[in-house]
Amino acid sequence: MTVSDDEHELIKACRAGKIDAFGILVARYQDRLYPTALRLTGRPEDAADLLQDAFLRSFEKLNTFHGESSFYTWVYRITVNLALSQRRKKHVAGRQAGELGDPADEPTRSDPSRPLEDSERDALVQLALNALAPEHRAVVVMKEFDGLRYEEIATILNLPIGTVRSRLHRARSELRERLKGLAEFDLSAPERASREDAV
Amino acid sequence: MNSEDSESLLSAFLDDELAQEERSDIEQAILARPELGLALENLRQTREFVAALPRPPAPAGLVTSVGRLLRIRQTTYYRRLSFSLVGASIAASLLLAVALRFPSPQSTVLVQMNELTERQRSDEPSSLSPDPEPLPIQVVEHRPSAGSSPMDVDQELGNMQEERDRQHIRSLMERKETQRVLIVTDVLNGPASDKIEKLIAENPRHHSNFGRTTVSLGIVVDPDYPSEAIVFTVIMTDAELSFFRDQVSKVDQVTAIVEDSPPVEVTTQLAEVGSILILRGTPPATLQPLGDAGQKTLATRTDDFPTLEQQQSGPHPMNRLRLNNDPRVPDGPKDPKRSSPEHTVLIWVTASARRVGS
Repeated sequence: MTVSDDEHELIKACRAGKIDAFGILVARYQDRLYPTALRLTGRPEDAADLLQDAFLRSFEKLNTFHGESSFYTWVYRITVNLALSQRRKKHVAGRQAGELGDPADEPTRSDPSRPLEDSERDALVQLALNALAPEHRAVVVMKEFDGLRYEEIATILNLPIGTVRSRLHRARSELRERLKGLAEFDLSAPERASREDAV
Repeated sequence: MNSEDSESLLSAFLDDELAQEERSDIEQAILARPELGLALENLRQTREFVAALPRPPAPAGLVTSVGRLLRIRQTTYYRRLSFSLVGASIAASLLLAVALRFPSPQSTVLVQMNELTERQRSDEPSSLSPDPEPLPIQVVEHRPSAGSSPMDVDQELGNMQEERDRQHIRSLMERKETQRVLIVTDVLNGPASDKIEKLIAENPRHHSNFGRTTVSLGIVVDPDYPSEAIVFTVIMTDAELSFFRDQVSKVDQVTAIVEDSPPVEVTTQLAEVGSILILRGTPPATLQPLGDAGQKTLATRTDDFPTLEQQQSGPHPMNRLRLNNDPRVPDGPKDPKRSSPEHTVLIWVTASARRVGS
């Protein structure tokens, strides 16, 4: 997808320094980009910061945008790579400090026998995502959450497709291990429900 | 197909990203081995967990905050530009006054004054910039946010300037003239990279500030070096580069030095995604009068301008002569901007020592 006429005009105005025109682009794409930023960072406040940085960066780099892709795709690429570079720092810092996750962030359940609520399940999945290495998390989010093809992921990360494939496999395997309990719980839920109905 | 191959292909099978032949192989493997079918089901379920995560809208106020920051940046750019022009004018006036007060070296001083003013202009808005590219600018009024203290404003302006330097380094990375010096070491973040950084920081340069970018998996800096790397972005003249090469070759931990032109896509990618830390290097020192014969001079370049005090105490032609013979000083032309090309040099300190130096 390339740049539409309307978008082309907006970008032209931005290049001329018109911040209001850029505001229109931000308003247009922020809701599409924010969920990705949230899954990449794991925290709403970090996601908002990331998205803000990505938009600022994209404004500064507009002279390098030649319209080969849509503006959205271009900012998406900047967002993902910015998240990667920022998360790497935090990941390394976390490893050095010996704290990959804050136990206080873990969702708690007062009654383990009751079914998981959606919000609890989501929190557990996000926690498992947060524990992945930044590079693994990025490919999982791009593939599972945003539904990109391997080729698109490879382009965004400037990696060979084979690397994307192997990285995604490793990431999924790790994620599966981390979510094993959740998967078993979910698989057994219908059985348990039908048993309860029978009683 | 062995077990490991099958498992690594399962993901791609699930995503319908296999070639026909591979697809047939994995289908047969799944039929033959029920545990693969179970693994596939687990992967599918994991995928669904992630895909089902909620997609909340962006928080309110993002458009406003982006706009506000962009306006501050633009205002800061103009403010610095006007300050620098005023500063240059004051400097020119002072030099002119000195020239009139001490007529003997008058002609020299006037020439230097022009060069100094020229240089200061060309150095703005960033001390890193030999040839700053204009930003798309809209003149707007800067309204500090309510309740911000002078310290907040200073901090904010400082941050803006750092960002400006980063932006400039990014733009330099994308230039065709960019050269690179690839320095291979054994261990990333080991003593060699520290020594290289120290060398860069301590070697006097006209554009003394430099950038440091730490890259890692996910950014292929060089296909031969897919692992981590530290990239220093330094602006050097030919003479400075030559001097630097010589110094680097003497660092014990450096196992090989390879020079090449970086692929454009790599520098572009680095410029786009790298989080560049701006570090302060050593600017050229001003000339100091020599004392006894044989005493080491404090000056580091032949083309620095004397201070006002030195002007007042008269010219020291011997200084220049002596400085030209100082083995620590790279021979350089009078004005490196005009006769010695400047390069953006990417110094890549990588984690591997596989490449053999040439």
